[in-house]
Amino acid sequence: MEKKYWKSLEEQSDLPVINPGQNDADASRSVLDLISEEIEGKPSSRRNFLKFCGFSFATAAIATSCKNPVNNAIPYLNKPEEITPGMANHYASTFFDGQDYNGILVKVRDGRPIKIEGNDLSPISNGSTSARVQGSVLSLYDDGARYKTPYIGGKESNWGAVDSEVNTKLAAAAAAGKSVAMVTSTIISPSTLSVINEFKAKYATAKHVTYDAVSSSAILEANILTFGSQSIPDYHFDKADVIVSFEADFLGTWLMPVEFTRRWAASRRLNKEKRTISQLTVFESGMSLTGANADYRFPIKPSQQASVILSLYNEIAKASGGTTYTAPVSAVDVTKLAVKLIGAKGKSIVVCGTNDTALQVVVNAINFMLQNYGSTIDFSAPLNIRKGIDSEMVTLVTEMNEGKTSVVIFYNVNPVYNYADTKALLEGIKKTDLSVSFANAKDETSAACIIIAPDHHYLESWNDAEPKKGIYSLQQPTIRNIYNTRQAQESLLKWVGNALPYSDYLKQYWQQNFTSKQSEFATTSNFWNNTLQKGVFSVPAAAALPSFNAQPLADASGKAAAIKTAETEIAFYETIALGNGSHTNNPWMMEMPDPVSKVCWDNFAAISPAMAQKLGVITGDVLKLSDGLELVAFVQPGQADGTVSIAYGYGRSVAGKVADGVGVNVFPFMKVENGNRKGYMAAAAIAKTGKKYELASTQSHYSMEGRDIVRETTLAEWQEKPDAGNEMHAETEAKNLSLYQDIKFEGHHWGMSIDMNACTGCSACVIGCQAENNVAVVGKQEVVKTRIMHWIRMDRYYSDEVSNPTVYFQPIMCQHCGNAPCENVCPVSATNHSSEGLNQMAYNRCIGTKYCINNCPYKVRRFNWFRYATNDAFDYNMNSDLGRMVLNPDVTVRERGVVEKCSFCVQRIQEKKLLAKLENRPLGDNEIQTACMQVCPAGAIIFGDRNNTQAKLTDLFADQRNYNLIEEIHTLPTVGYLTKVRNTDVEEKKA
Amino acid sequence: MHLQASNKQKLVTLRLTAPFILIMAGFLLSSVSQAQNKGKEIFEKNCVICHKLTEEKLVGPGLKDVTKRRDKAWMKKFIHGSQDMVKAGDKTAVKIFNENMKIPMPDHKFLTDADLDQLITYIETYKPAEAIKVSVDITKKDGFWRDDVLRGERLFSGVIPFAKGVTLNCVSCHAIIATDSLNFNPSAVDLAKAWQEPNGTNLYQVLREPTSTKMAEVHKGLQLSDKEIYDISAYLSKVGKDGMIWEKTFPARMLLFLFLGLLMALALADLIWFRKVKYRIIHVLVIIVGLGVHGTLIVQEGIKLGRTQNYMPDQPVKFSHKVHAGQNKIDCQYCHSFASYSKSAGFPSSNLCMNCHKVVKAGMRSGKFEINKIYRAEESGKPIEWIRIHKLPDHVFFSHAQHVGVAKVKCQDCHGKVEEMDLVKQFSDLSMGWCVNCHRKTAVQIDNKYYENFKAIHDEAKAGKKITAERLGGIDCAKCHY
Repeated sequence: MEKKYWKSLEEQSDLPVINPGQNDADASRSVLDLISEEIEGKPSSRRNFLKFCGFSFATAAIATSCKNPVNNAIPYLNKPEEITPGMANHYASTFFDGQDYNGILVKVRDGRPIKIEGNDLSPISNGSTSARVQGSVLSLYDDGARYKTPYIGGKESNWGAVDSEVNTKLAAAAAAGKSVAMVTSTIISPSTLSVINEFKAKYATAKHVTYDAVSSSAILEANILTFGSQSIPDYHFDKADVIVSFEADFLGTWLMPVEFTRRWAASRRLNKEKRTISQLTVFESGMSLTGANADYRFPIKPSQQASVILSLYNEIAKASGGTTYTAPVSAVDVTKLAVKLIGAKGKSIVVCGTNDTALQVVVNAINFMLQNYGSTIDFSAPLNIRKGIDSEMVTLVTEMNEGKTSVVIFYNVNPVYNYADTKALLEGIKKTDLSVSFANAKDETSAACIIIAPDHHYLESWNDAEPKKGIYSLQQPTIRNIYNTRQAQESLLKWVGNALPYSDYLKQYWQQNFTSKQSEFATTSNFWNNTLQKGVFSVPAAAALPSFNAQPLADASGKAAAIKTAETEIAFYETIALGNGSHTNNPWMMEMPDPVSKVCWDNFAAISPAMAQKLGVITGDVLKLSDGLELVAFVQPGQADGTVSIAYGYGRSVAGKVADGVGVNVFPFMKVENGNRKGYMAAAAIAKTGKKYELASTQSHYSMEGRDIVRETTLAEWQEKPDAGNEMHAETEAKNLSLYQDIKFEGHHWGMSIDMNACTGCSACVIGCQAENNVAVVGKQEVVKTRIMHWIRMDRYYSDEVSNPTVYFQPIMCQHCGNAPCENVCPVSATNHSSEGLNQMAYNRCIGTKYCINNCPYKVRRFNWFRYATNDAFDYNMNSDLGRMVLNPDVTVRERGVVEKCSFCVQRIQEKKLLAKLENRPLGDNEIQTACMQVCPAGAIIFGDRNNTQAKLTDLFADQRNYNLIEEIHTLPTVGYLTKVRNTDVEEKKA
Repeated sequence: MHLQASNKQKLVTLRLTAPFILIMAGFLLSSVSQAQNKGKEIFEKNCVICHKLTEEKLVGPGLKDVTKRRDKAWMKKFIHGSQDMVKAGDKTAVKIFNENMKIPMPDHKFLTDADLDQLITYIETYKPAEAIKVSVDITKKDGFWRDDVLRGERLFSGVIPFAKGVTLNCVSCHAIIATDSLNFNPSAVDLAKAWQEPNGTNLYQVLREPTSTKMAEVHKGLQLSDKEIYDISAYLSKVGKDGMIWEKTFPARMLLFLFLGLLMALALADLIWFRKVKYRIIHVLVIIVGLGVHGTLIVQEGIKLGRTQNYMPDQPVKFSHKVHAGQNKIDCQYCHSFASYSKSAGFPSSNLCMNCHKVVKAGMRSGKFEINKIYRAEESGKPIEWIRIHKLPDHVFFSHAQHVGVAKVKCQDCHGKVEEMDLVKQFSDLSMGWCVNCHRKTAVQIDNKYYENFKAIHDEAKAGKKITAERLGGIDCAKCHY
C-alpha cells in the first residue's frame, strides 16, 4: 500500500521501538539458572547439593502422603424459589452514576451479581453498555474502599446514633432559621426527587443544589435564553448527513455516548441498500475518540472555537439572509463546511461541548438556521442527565463561608475532590454545624464530613430513573446489602419522619403516578410487576418545538468575539474510563488503555509533536505547566499546536488502593468563569523540570510489524467499486491452495465479523470481555513490561501527517485461524482446533513453553506470569474473598504458567447450544452473543455460524469489503473485518 | 475443695433416694401404663398428623379437654366415620366440619371398641411431659470429674454392669469408631452432640421413656440410675470433644516400597563394596524386581492422585439411598431436581425433606434420631453440611443438564446403583479417560430438532449409522475445558 500506517511516533520516524520487556532479565530466567546461581560462589556446593536433595525428597514425601481434602456440599435450608444452583438469573435494572445512564440486565449467579449487560428492551441502551457500566459491578465488591458501617466524627457508629444526631441538628437548624443544603449530582429519579421534595417540605430552609462536576450548564443556560427551556434536547445523529462537533466527544464521553454511538454507527453503516454515510467534522484541541473518527478534523485551541463558530454562523447567515455579527478572523476556513451544512438543511447537527453560554447560544442559532430543531435535534424528549447549573454551587460555597448554612448533605457527589475551589469548600464545610455524606465508598468529601451515612451500592438499591422525558426505568437490588449500609433515600425518609421503607415508597409512587399513564395492564400490581421485570417503561412524548428567540444572539456574539487566545492553552478532558473520577478506584477502568493514547494507569500532558520539538521535550519528561501543576509529557500526534491536554479523574487522595496517588488532579484548575465551569486555562511558560517519569503505554505492544492489516477507502471509491481498498482479498482468496485436505465443519463453524465503519474504538468490548472471562488486572509495572492480559485489544493506527493524522481503530482478538500457526508448535497439544472451528486452549494441559505466543502472527496470546488470583502483590480485585465473588464460575481462573487467549466466549456458545437442545429446537442466528458483541454500542461485532446460510454473518462474509488480517500467509482466520470507508472528498484532499 | 465436698454430699443423697423414687414410680406407672401405652401407640399412628393434644390447631382442632366438650360415645362414632355423621346431619359434626375448612377427617373403621376406649383414655389422661425430677445436676454438660468420665466410659462399654435391670453394652450400637459406618444407630459422637446442644436431648428422660418403638425395643429392661446416666453423660462430654476414633490403616504399600528400596540399596552396596553374596544374578534380580515393583507402585499411585473412586465417607445424617430410592422408589430427580435443566443436580434443601418427613418421623432402623436432624436443622437455621463425594476439578465444566436433560443418560450409568447403596460411594473414577471413552461409545439423541440443520450427519443417521458424541465434537477440549 502506498499509505503508511504507524502506531507510535518511533515507528513513524523509523526509530527503534524500545521493547520494555527486553531488560526484563529476571523474569525470564529458568529455575535451573536460579539453582546454578544459588550454588555458585558458595563455599561448599556439596552441602547445597544435599540441601536440594533433601528438599526434593521432602516435597516428594509430602506430595505422596497428602490426602484429598474433604469438601462439603451445603444445600439451602429453604431454597428460594427463583434460585437454581448452577444457573444464572438476569434482573432488569438501571445504571446511573450521576453522569451516565444505561438500562441494564444484571447477571446474578447463585445470589451474586457477576456481570452487567445492556437491557435490550431499553430504547437508550438497546442491549449495549459503555465500558464504565461494565466495570461498575467491580465496585460492589470493593472491600477496601466501601464503607462498612455509618461513622460519626470518624468513629464507627450505628444508624440509631446517626438518626438522632441528624434529627437534632436539623431541628436546631430549623429553629434557628438557618439553611439546610442538599448537594446532589443530577438526579433523574422521579421518586428520589419526590423524597427530596418531602425533605424540603419538612424543612422550610432546605435547598437542593445540583452539582455536576462535569456540567453542561452552558447548554442549559443557552437553551433558557434562546428557547426559554432549561433542558438539553436529544440529538439524532442517525438522521443527520453532516455532523459538526466543537470539542463535543459524543462518541466517547459527551452526554449519552452509548446511544449517540449507536445512532452515529447507524449513519455510518454501509450495505447493499444503504449506500451513503454521514460526514463528521470535528474541531478540537486534543485528540478525542470523536476526533479520531472524524472525516475532517481541525486541531484548534479551545479559545479559537469562538472565531470558528462565529464565522460558521456568519457564513450560514449570509446564505440564508440572517443577521451577521462581527467576528475575529476564523482559525479555520469554514466556507466549504457552511456550504455543506446549508446543503443538508434539516439533516445536519452542530454540537458544541464547550461550557460557555455565549458559544452555545451561537450554536443554537446555527442549528436553528439549518432547521435542525424538530428533525435531528429533538426537544420533545429532552435529556435529564445534566441538570447542574455551575453558579448555584458557587453561591452555596459562599453562603457556607458566610455561616448561613447549618447542615450540608452530600449525595452522590465528591466536590472536595472535583470542585474548582476546594479550599473555600473545605472552609465552608467546617463552618457548618453538621456535614453529612451518603458516599458508599471512601472519597475526599466524606472524609471531610462529620457523619458518613453510607448509601447502598446501586446493585443493592431500589430506584427509578427518567433519563429522557417519558422514558422511565426501574432499578432493583440484585444482592442483599453486603455491609451495614442504608439507602440514601431511606435515610432521608427517616429524617422527615416517614417510616415507609424506600422500596414501598417507590412502588407506591409508581403505582400512583404511572399506572394511569398506560393501558396495557389493568391493575396496579400487574403494571408494577411487569415493569419491574422489563425494567423499562415509556410514555410517548408529545412533539414539542419551543420557538427560537434570537434576541440574546447579539450579546452572545459580542461575548464570543471578545474571547482572547493565549499563547499556550491547557485543555482538560474526560477519559472514557474514569469519567469525573468516580470510577478511578476501579482496577478494570484504571487498566483500560485509552483508545487514542494507549496509556493506562496515569494522566499526562499531551503536547503536539511540533511543540515537543520546539521545547526539546520527549514523552516521559516531566513538565512544569502552571503553579502547582507538574505532569509528565506525552507527545500526541494530532494535538493542536499551542495546546496541552490533560485528563481529569486522576489524582484521587482518598479513594482506595487502586486510585490513591495515581496521576494528578486537575479539577482545581477548572475555574468558574461567567457562571460556568471552564474546561481550559491559559498556561504560563511551559518548562522542563529535568525529571523523568515512566508511562505505561500499550501502543507498541503486540505489534503486527507493519503488515497490510489496515484497509480503507473513501465513499466515492466504494460507491464506484465495492471492493475498493480491498482488491487484494480476492487475489489472496484465489491463491488459497493447500496440500492438505480441506477440513469440513459438519456441525457449526463459528465466525465473527467486525464492521470497521461502525467501530468507534470506544473499548467497551475490552472491559466486557474482561468481566466475562475473569481476565486479571496486572498493574502498572506489569503493563510496562508488556504483560497486560486483555483478550481483546483496541489497536490504533495513524496515517498521514503527524500534526493531524488520520486515525484507524481495530479491535483484535484471537482470529481462530482455520490453519493456526500456534497449534502446530505446541509440544503438548494444549491448543488445537475444535470441530466447530474454535482454536481451543486447554489450560490444564498447557506447560507454558510460550511457543504459541511467539508463533501467533496476531499477538493475541497472553502468558500468566503470576498466580494473579491469589498473589498479594497484585492487590486489585481478585486477591480477596469478596473480590473474587465477581468471577464468572463458568470460566477457569487461570493458573500461573499457562497461556490464555480469547475463546470466542465458548462458555456462552455452550450455554446457548444446551438451551436449544433442551428446548428441542435448532439454534437461532444471533442467539449466541459473545461478550464483546453483546456490549458493543455500535453493533460493530457480529458473531455467528458460518454454516448457517441464513445467518447475518454469511452476508457480511460475502461482502466485498470483507477481509482477513494477514490473509496472505494462509492462516485462514474466522474473524473478518469490513474495510473502513471514509466520507472524505478526493478533490478536497488534493487542494 | 468446696466443690468436691458438695459433690460428695450429692452422691450420698443420690444413693439413698434413688431406689425409693424408682419403687414409687413403678407402682404409679403399672396401673395405667398398659392402657395408656396402647392408646398412645394408636394416637401416634393415626392421629398425630392432624391433631395435637394441646389447644393448638394443626389440621384438625387441638384435643385438649375434648372429653369434657364431647360425649365419649359421640367421639367413638365420629372417629369411626365422621363424614357419615356430617351427611346424616349431626349438628355438632357439621359445625366441626365447617369450622375446619371442610377438610374431611378420614374414617377409622378398623379401630375396635377396645382400641377406641384406650385411645380416649389416653387423650383424657394425657399430661404434657413434666420436667422429671432427678437427684443429680442434669444441666451439667461439661467440666465433669475424671472419675465420673472413666466410670461413664466403663458403663458405656459394658465393662461395669448396671446396678439394676439388664446390662447393655452401649458401644455395640452407638459406635465410637469411625469406620463402623453401616451401623444405623446414632454414633456416640452424634449422641453427645445432640445432648450438648442448647435445648438438646434430655438423657434422663429419653432413657426412661424411649422416644421411638425401635428405641423402646432395644432399650427394654434398662433401669439406669440417675448417677449411672450422669456418669455416661460425663463420658459423652469427652466423646463429643474428642470426636470419632479413626482406625489407622496399615501402610502395606508404603512399607513394601521402603523395604524394596532398602533391599536394592543393600544389593547395590554389596555389589560394589562388600561382595558377601557370590552370585551376581541375585543382585541383578533384586534390583530388577525392586525397580519393577517400584515403577508399578509409582504409576498406580500416580494415576490415583486426585482421584477418589470408591470414596465412601460417613455423612452427617445416616441417610440411606437404598431406603429412599430403592425400597420407597422415590425418583432420583425428586430430590436432585435440577439435574435435567441445570449444571448441578442439586442437593435437596431441608424443606424438601420435610415434604415427607413432616409425616414420616421415625425410621425402621434409625428410629427418630436421624430424622430429628432435619428438624433440628430447620429449627436452628443451620443447614446440614453433607460431605461431597463427586467433585470434578475446577478446570472441568460439567453440566448435568447436557447429560440428563439432552442425552437422556441414566443416573446409574455414572453414579452406579445408588438405589442399592445404604451409604453412597463414588462409583466411577471420574477420570478424563472415563469421560472420553463414554463419549466415543455413546450415540447422541439425533432426533433432537437441534441437529436438524446438520444435514450430512442427519443423512448418515437416517442410513442407520450410529452417530456418537465424538462425531459431533464430543471429545473437543473446549467441550469441557474453558
